[in-house]
Amino acid sequence: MTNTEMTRIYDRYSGAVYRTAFTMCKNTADAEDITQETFIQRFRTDISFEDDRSEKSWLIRVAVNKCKDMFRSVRYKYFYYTVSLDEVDLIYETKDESEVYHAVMELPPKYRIVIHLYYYEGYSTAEIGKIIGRSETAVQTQLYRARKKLKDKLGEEMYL
Amino acid sequence: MNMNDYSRVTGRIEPSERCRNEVLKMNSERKRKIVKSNTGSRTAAMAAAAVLIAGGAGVTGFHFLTRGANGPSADPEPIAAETTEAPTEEPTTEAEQPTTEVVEAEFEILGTSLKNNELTIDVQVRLPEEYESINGEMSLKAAMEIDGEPVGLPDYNEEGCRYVNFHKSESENVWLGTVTHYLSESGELQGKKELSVHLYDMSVYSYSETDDTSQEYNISGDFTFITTMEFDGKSPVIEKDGFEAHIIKNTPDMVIIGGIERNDLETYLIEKGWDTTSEEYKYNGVHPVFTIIDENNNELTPIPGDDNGWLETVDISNGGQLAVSCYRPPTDNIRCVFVDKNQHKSPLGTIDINTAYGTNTFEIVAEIPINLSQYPMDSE
Repeated sequence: MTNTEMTRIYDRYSGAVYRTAFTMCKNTADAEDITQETFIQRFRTDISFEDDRSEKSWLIRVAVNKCKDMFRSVRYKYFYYTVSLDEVDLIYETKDESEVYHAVMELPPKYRIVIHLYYYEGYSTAEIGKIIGRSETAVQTQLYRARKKLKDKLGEEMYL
Repeated sequence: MNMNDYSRVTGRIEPSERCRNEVLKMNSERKRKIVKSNTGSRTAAMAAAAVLIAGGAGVTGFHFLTRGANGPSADPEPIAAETTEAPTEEPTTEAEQPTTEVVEAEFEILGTSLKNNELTIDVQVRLPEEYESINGEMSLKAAMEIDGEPVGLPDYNEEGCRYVNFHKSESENVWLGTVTHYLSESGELQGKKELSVHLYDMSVYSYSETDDTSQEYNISGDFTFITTMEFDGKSPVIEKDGFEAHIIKNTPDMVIIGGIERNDLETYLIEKGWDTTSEEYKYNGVHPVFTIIDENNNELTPIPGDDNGWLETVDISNGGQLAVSCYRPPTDNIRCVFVDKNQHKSPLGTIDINTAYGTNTFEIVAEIPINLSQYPMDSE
């Protein structure tokens, strides 16, 4: 793969990959590590995609799995519950933005990721199932539970 | 208040320029080069070995945290610290790099700890005062050996090392970071062993948003720190054929076993593809999964999780969830069984596992026997 091609791929998809990683990791350092590892794998993998959406899904899936790998590490096994949200790069323009974002980031990671992929990336539950390695039914269940938790947290003002 | 609020905040998050630089730099296989472009006061090529403190002040605060009866203890006296002299002249790799500059640095090991086979080493790197205005992250490669054998998986690249980022501390010219390695040797780690930590390919990448310029400073020399560790117990990690079983907790009432698959992730991504609909790939995911069985081939009873994370009950459909809490079986002999969801005619046979889809037959790809009586009982 040429440098030009690598640069094109990175510039096109790095935002989506990084945002997914940040959603799961909640901190910049780990999210950037995941982003780097994801693209390194992409560049080293001889694979072709039907379209941009497939390639993006592939990258996000790799990123999600690398996050899971990280969660399985001994470090995360014992400490990830205590990882706090890294606020350095977050910008809130309204109070609602802050409240909703914090409520989402306080969800367990498996709920955060389905919320992120569904609402931000716009994937269907079937597509999310392929990305995170779960059945569509399981994703729908997670999405339902995540919405319920958000509703419980934010009250009736939260429109879902 | 709705999910658009979440999307707006998320949409403002971007990876840093440093991240982009790291990715594209690593993959273009460009030689690492000194790109400090300040040609004013420091134009002469300078050679300077990294100043090492490991044998002196750096060792003052050096200590190991032991794991009690089951854990290794460490010889508090380091054996040696070595440095590799930097070349007297750094090669200029591209025409637009007319000058080069080697930056000296002082290294200090602030402390180490070892818990559940996770070995961490806290390192401080201090640059000369004239570089205190540099902002940015320091990246370096770290490798570790025990008795001359490389350790650590799976975070390492093919060179047997890993990239580590150090963050600048509040002090103007000091970077702090932690190098973490997982000791995944199979079986027991016993007796006194030599631990060697090697840091190299160090650089500081600095990016200025105001003028959209970036610079990179290479740090001369390598840093090697050698000490000894005394292992007096059994490793809680058992490795076999690229799979690991971690005895995370062992009490009279319960056991927590972590299973990790150390094979190349790409193998699964490429070989298994995207097909998740046909019968062959019904349980497709990136990772194989595992379960714990007793000596009568019955699955241990999982302890229901608290629904707060990935550590739940055994759930084969969860795409690689690999930590399981189970009620302790009446006998001490258990087996950690890794199964292949994609069914490839394994010579190890099959096993029936209760899944979210009912009882299904999976092919065994690895088995790790565990005798719980050989591991110390946790207090709670």
